[in-house]
Amino acid sequence: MAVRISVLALISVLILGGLFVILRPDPNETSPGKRSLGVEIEDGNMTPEQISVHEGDKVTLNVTTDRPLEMHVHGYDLEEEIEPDEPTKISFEADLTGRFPVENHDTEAELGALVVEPR
Amino acid sequence: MAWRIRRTVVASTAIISFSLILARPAFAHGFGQRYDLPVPLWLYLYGAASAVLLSFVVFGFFIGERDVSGGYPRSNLLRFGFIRATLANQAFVFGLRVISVALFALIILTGLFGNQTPALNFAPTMVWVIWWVGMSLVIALIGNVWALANPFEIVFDWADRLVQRLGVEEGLEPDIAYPVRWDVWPALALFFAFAWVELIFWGSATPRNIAFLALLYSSVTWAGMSFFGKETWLRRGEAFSVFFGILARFAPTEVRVTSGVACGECGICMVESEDECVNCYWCFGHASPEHREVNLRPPAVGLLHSEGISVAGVAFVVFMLASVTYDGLLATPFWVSLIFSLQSIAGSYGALSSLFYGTLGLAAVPLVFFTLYAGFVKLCQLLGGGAGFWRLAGAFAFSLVPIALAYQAAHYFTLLLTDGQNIIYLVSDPFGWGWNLFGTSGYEPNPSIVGAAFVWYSQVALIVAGHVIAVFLAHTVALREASSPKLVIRSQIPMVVLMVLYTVTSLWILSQPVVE
Repeated sequence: MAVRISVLALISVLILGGLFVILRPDPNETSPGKRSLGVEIEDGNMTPEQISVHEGDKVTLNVTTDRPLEMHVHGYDLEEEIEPDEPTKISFEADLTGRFPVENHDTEAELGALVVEPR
Repeated sequence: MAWRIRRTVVASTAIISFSLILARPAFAHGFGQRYDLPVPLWLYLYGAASAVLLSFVVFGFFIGERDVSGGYPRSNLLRFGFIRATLANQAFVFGLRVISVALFALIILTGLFGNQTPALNFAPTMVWVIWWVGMSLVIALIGNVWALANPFEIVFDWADRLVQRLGVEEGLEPDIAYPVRWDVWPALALFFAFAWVELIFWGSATPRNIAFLALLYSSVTWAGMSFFGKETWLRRGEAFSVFFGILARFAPTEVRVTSGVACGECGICMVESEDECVNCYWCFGHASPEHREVNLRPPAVGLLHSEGISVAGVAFVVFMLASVTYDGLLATPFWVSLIFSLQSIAGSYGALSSLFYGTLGLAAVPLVFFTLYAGFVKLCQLLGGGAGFWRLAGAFAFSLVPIALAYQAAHYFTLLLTDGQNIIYLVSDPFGWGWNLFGTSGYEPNPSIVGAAFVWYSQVALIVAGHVIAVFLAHTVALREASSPKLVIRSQIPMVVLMVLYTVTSLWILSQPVVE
């Protein structure tokens, strides 16, 4: 019985390890770098609706809006007053991974999300 | 005397229900926020492939096994003085029960009178995160603490004792026999209502609604207890006792009474073959110390003892399984587009659409689930030599519980880690009025306490582990139920296929983009 359990445990480890090696995609070739993205808020919607960056990137968002609002990024806890006619730069390092909702802090309406992919 | 109490309880139920109708929806800002990323495709495939291949490994474990006694290794923890000094100590248990009732009272008070912003009020975090997610996991992974600290039961018990002390000899004793045919259907109906509140009701995070609903549920529970008896209602009508009782079967601990005499007096618990009963808390409370055991046991073995489970019991387990999946399904783009298509057929109802279709789904998905499940059980029955259909359905339903539990844990452990942190500042300021009782009211929860990659790997690991345990259980059931050893492998193949489908569905849900 003990032999059987050991053999089965070994087979399981081989299966789990082997599958992992086969299926795992190659690690991201690009190293963390500077990303500059334009973000437009129009009529309560954000374009792009999902801001995608990678972990470790140094991100600068150039935000324009049609109406004055206070933009709040959850998780990173970034808050900026954005005025129309005044493109605003928001800079941060993407050290937290996950999906972080971006909202209009005054109306609490969700505009979109910031997605930081792990490496 | 008892009827007067009953009348009051029923009347208050009616009043509370009415006030709920007046409750307004509220914006659950900052509460229940999820930061998880969908599991990437390669990891989803990895989980699915692992589940399938490891199922074969489990088969390998059972080759040549004939032991169907259903016995399992146990170790009595009451040997240890520390355990005796706590779990078997009346004063300690009483202290726990007082704390439980105090927390319950705090939920009601903060819900009714505190700040109505969900993230700033004790009630939403305590109920939805600490209790619903947290206690479920504690019960499944450690033991049935609800049986020890059920506030509804405790308050009724205290009221009963008080009434007896005030001279009414029979206390709050029932004089109505519980109709046998009702079985656990009342518990299922209440659990359905709870699932509706959790998944569909827009105002489920509003503190005041939580307080009202808790009071409503208390009234119904106390009414049930006063009509039919506390123990009977706990086993048949108290939705959470039934639900947590099923989860507790997975747990690596059990309470056991080793004297048939004590169990004979109980009359309600299902007595095991050797004059013992397991997880009958009434028996445990009334048995003498030498007949009581608190045993450590392998996880999930409690799910193997499905003898005596009725049609209603099977329905309850199936609903549990389906509602866990439905919870995840609701947030998928697939569901959103399904509703969209349905709206063009059955009509759109504006703001009430999501309510209407959500409720419809909550009734329909379990029925679809059950139909599919019954089909697979039937196949098992035909291939296995004809054990009773409902007997098989009960046994296999329990064997599916690890998959649902794994999905629930995978889906919600991050909520426990992120919103669970709210409790740190909430203990200092439960009403959200600016208090600072313990100096922690300024604590800011860290939403990225764990990274997205760690979450992915944990989720897939949990799901694969749940699947392997489920297949293990299914094989044990098949060994027991097949009419001859040769049929064992064949008779469980349909169930293992169903398990693979269920596991892959769980993984698929986790890989879907989240629709807010």
